[in-house]
Amino acid sequence: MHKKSLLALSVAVAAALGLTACSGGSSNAGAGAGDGKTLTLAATTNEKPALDAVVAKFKEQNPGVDVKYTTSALDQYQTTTRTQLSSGTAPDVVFVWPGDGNPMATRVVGKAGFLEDLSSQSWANSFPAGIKPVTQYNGKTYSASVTFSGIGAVYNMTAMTQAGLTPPTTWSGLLQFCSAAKAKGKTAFELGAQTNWVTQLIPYALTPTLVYGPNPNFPQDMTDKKATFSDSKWTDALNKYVEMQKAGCFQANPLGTDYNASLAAVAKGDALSVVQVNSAVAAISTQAPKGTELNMLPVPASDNVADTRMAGAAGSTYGVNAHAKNKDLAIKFVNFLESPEGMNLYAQTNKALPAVPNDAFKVDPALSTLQRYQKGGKTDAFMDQNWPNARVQQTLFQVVQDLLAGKTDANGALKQMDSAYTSGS
Amino acid sequence: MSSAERQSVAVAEAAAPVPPLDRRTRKFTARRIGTVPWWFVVPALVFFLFVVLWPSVQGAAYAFTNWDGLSATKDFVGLAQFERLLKDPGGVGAVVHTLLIAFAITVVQNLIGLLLALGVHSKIKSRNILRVALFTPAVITPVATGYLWKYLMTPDGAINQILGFFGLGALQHDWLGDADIALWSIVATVVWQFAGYSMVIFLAGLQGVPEDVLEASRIDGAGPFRRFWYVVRPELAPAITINLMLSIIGGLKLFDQVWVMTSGGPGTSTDTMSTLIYKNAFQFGDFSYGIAMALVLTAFVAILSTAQYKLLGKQGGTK
Repeated sequence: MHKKSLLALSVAVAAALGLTACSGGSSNAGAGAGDGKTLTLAATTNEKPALDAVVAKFKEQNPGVDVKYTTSALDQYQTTTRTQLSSGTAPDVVFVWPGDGNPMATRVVGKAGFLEDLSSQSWANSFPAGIKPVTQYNGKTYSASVTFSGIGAVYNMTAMTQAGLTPPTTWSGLLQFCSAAKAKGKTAFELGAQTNWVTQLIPYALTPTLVYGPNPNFPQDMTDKKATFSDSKWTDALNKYVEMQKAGCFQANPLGTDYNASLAAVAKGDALSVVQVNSAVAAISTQAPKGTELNMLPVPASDNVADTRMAGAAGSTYGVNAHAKNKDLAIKFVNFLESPEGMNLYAQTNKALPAVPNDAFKVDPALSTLQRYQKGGKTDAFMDQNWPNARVQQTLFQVVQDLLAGKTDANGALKQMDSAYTSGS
Repeated sequence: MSSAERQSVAVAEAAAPVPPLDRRTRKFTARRIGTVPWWFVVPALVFFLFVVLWPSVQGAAYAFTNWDGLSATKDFVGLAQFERLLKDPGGVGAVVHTLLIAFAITVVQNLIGLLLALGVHSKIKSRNILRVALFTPAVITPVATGYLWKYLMTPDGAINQILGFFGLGALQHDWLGDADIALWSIVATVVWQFAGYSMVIFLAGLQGVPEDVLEASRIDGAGPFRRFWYVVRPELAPAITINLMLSIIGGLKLFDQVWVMTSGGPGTSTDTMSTLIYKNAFQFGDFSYGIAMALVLTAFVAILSTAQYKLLGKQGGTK
């Protein structure tokens, strides 16, 4: 072979092989070798404001202790932390997702042996029934949920009043609301479907009423192969999604609009609401004119108001690295997070609810309905927390975009999700 | 000078036609090369072997296991991960998108780069400013370019506003939200960024075209096209070869702009092999499958770039 072509081939092979060089194995390097005074912690960027507050409080209560924490964007966090865990260089405390269905979920990381068993901690049995299972793997507690998060329609009530409209409480009312908003030159529900994870929020808001409320055993039925997405009321949920699009509930180009743009439209009052997680309340507040009133309410999926439920589940959750350098200090920090003081401070700062309801918590008025549903047991866990692998959720993102683009129908979309579900069962 | 500029200068120098060496110079060069001790290369070779090659081979071995990227255990599964790729409809789609992107970028970027080079090779007064301006996008990081164009291509973004301003409302599109055109919007972004890079390489080649030969062909009555085709093009052969190889490899490996602008969506309409590798390895926790895909991509890059190099070499594209 010519010298130059050999060189070109070598460069090409080395460049592409570089992609395969990210590998590793488990290691106990450094476990328990800390100074007992410096705690390391990593989480996603969304958690930073709350971490700033709780870390300051923890340090105030533990003089001489330093807490070094880093935050990064979701994708980067998952990639980096998995690599750190497998190479023995992960921080003492790590942010994890509750349940399953995510590369950094409690059951995925706990099963691999990288999380400390926290079953003996006093708080481990205090979680409400909806949260406790997603902190566990094989009956042992491996993570500590700090907040309770919900999904609902976040209304700009100031813009609603100006438009002379009120939030709908039934499915028929929702479709009428869309028409009325359109007649006023407003978007009823701004949809940032260009951002992958946003695509799932409307099905997550509709299925508690349509699927999980009427049949609380649906997740177990799926595990036992007695139920599938395509043979369930998930079909109704996706059909209603399409019906909303056809009824003009969304702006003209939802697939070309991202998360930030969708919140900005609600903050400006161009759109009246957005179906989002509760953290959007804080994000919209910071962009909206002073005095703008926001309210997070359930998305109705039936014409019987009493049937309406909300998606609500364990939110910010932390685990202790099984090979932590300062394991005792890490457990002490997690115990502080699980105390009413730590939990309330965290939830207050992140505009969420505490994982364990308590009277000392002063709820943000915008989240009072979510709290009422939480206390009334009218919430169902985020669906992916009970899915067997991350592929199902990613498939949902993809098929919803296809659905909105008219490239598939509800049945075709759900068959793809069934296929993704069984591929990891 | 930034590293990108230094790299460009180096590539440009390589692309420029090399004047033939006289006998004395050739002897001197041969003697000098002959006296360089072979072990000079050992430190770099050792570094390459242990920092690049060995970890890469170790990593490649995971393609034959079912390792999830986290667990302590893994089983040998032979070629099972490669068989999955053949049955994966998403995988086949990603291969098609990757080839479309590589082909489109290679053709359009080099065509525009060549036209720009011919334009700024003329004697117009502002040619130096134009050269700098046209090359500038190439020194911006691809991620920043992706975010910039994602913003410009939003439904209410600058592109649609400009089209509306000039009464071209019919041409307004949801550039990244429409599954039928999102892939080409990404290609346009990449071409915008790297056409200037191709231009610099062509320009280096153009500056080596002998003026007296051009003058002679002009006197013989050759028009602009015939002068380009029979005099300039053969002299540009090395530049064409380098440009085609760089754009094919870049197109096949394209990740940053796709990830930033669409993350492979809407649906799977812009998924490439690189985005699928990332999703499988880091989002699905299906590490071994991701590595199997990376190995296939490696084979693609190696085969296509070698075939292209050989083909152009036979046509006098290398010196």
